[in-house]
Amino acid sequence: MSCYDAMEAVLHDETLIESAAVHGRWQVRYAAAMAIAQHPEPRWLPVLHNMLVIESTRPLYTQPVVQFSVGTGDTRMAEQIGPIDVTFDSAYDEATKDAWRCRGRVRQAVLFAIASIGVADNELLAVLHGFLADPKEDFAVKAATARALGVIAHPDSVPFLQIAQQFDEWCTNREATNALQRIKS
Amino acid sequence: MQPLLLEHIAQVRIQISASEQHGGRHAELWKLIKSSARSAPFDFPWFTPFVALITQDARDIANAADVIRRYVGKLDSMYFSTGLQFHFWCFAFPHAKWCMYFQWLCTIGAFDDEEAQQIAAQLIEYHFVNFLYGLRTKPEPDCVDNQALSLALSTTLVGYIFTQAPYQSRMAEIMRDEGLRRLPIMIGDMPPSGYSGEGSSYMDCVNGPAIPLAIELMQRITGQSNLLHQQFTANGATPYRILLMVAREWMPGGLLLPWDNYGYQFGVRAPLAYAAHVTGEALFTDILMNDTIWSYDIGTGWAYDDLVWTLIWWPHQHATSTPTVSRSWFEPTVGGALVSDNRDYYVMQMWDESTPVVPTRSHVNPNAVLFNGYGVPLSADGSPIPAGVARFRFADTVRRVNFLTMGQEDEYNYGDGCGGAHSIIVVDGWEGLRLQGDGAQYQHPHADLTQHTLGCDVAPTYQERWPDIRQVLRRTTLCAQRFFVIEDYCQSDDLHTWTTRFLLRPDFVACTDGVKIQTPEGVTLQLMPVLVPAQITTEAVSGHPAKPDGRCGIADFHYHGTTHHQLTLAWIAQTRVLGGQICQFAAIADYADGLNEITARQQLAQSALRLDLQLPAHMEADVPAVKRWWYHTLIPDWGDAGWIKLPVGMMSPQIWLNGVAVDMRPYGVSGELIAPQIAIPTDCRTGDALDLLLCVDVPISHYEGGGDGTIGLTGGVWLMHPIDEDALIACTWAENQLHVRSTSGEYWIPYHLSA
Repeated sequence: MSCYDAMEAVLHDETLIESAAVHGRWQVRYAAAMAIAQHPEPRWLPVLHNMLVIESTRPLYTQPVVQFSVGTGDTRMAEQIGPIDVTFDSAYDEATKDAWRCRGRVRQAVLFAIASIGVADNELLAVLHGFLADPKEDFAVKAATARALGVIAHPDSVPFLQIAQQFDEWCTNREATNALQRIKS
Repeated sequence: MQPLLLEHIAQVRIQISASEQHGGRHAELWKLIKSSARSAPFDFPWFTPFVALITQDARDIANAADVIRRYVGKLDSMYFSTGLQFHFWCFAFPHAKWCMYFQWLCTIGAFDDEEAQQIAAQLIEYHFVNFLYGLRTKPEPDCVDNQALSLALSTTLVGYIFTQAPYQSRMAEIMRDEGLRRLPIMIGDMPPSGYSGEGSSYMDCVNGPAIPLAIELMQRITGQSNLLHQQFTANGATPYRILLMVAREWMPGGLLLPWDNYGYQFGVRAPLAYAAHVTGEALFTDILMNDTIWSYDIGTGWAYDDLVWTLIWWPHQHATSTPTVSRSWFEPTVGGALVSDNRDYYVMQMWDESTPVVPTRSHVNPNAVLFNGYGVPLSADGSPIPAGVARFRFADTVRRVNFLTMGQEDEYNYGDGCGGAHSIIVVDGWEGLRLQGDGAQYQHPHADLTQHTLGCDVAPTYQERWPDIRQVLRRTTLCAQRFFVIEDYCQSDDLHTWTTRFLLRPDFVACTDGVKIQTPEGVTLQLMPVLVPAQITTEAVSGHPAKPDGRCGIADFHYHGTTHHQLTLAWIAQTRVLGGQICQFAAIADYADGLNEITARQQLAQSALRLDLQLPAHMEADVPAVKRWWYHTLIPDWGDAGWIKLPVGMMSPQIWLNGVAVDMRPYGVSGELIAPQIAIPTDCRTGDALDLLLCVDVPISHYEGGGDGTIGLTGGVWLMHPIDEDALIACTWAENQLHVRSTSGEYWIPYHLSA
């Protein structure tokens, strides 16, 4: 089954979520998290937690600067058509490159799924707090974490959200501010 | 299956065919698009699918299908780019456009079923993991800007396309629903003025072009009609208001307001065409037909297809007349413009809110004024040259962030967004004026456009730092359809230094009172204090703003006290007038870039091709799209002309006048926006023909501008003649009357000071 078909399948059939959540392709795991958000129930929390564990083993943020056959990789690439080739500074295995493609996408989808469920145990909360405390984490993950913590509204999250509020990125800053207001109310 | 948003394709084909027979602007535009796509289908890929759809020609269809394949072929590489990973909205909008063009091509059989399914799967999956992801990073309901609008619209569009047969994708369904949930809110939560605060670049190149697509798409999905005037949220903007603000950003001469971020630029056409088509309002048609530049090509929503959509939405029923309407406007939460009936005199005063703390986009410009005279910009505003400049780099306006570029910390200065970089009142010398809190920034905006006056009190902007300041009122008035009066009335409890600042285009020239500039185009602006004397200082600034001159002059009028009440007269005049147009240049293409002045002259003497330099050659005649062109003419009768006005937008121009090379370096940047005027040497004698030889490059790809768009030469060649300047002599105010004398007139104008 192609990656596309596996993604479509899990979004059509809830019974496929558990297997899709540990699928070898991150796109399918991303779709699994989206499927959970369509069926938000606490029973998925262990599955979601495990998905974050899988992501924690991947080198999501280690990509070196690469060279492109056209352009420099900035926003001006948006308007181009191909062919555009990419050259790495060294040979990397496909799993590593796949992690670089993914970065925080699966994490974000998992976080929004947790937000849709609205609860988390202490162990899962600690993972979420870790995202906010990690200076190397992508802002998309930090922002999603802040939103999820705002929905969960646990007072232990306050100092972590206050850290996120200091982060100089607008989405994260705003989500953290909104989350703190939600917790305080 | 019909092409999305072009279900009336048969009618469009008939209209294009008819206009090919009859000529006119619509036909010229189609010719431009078709010849570009046919001569270089992969250099003008954003034209190619539309051309295939119209012509249904096998070669055009094959080229268009290859464009789609090439686009899909680049997708994986983009994962490793900073652009896709951190600036995904720039990629989302063009991705959605390519999905639509893929759908169009499927309606004319460009792909077999198997390939179509494969391509569709790649397009759907890519949007789902990249741009639905991107849309969800944007906080709700807080985030309303060009980025979030792009993401919401593109997600709706891709979702809608691929929920249709034969795809019926569940991913697409999720995207359609999520996009459609957020898209109306994104539009409705724009400020009621329609101005997002992001400056002309984002209003004109993203928000404006997004609106017609969003309306047409939502109408198809929901079955509703007339969404142009729908208010989607309480107290928010209607789509119409956004398009109206896009139109209001146009100044006489065709440049957009330089406010709030990137500075002067040309405008795009499709939002105007759509608004004219749907509303029939003269303002939109007037700008579209009279002020637009057709050889300008830039990404709208990061897609170079503005001309395609202009053609699609062409206001056939309104385009034959070119009405002129008042260009003055007033928007209580933004500002307003006063424009003389002949459009020679223009001023805009703004009080749109700035972004607190870090004013990157929405600059701190409380009551700033911008002048334009005879279609030429006179004020300076915008952003510095890319290397940055020290002038507006303050100790506390440098920011370092690690989320803009992969694996790298970026440093940038937002000092040019602070108050001192604008034509405002600077208090106690604090040029870094900006706010920290979210409070009100202005009060009591008012206007009476029948009396040609508008104003606002921006004291709240200053009160955060100086609570004793009670009023910072500025009122601007157009008097006698000839000149402007700027009244500043500031009051405070403590003593302050009040500096009325003007950022102006170069260069300062001598005058008897106040300050005066004369631009390279020969337009002058004199600013004269009227009520009380001022201590005046001037300063030349290099590197700010980047366009049009890469420099500016600052004129400061200094005052001190608890009250500052002053009238400043703004007097605009011209020192040259347009003469006759020089047409019928002998022209040749330089295919191998191998000609020089001598060999080009030899070939030009043999050429039967005659062109007017109104547009790049391949847009003006049935000639191939070639990068370099040579033109030559003899001008036998030039009278007392002192200058030759050349086309705007010439790339790498080389000019020889009477065999002598003209130094074009002074126009290296400004020539992109303002037609250069080269002086006829004083040793040329009337009666002797002028020999004019030009070598000019034209863009033969969307991409030659490096992401900033391209412009091909436009506007033709004209003689310019000197005239006696209607210069300002004196201005006084007494007994509620202004008395103004100039070299050719005298004015007695009733003027009551603000109480």
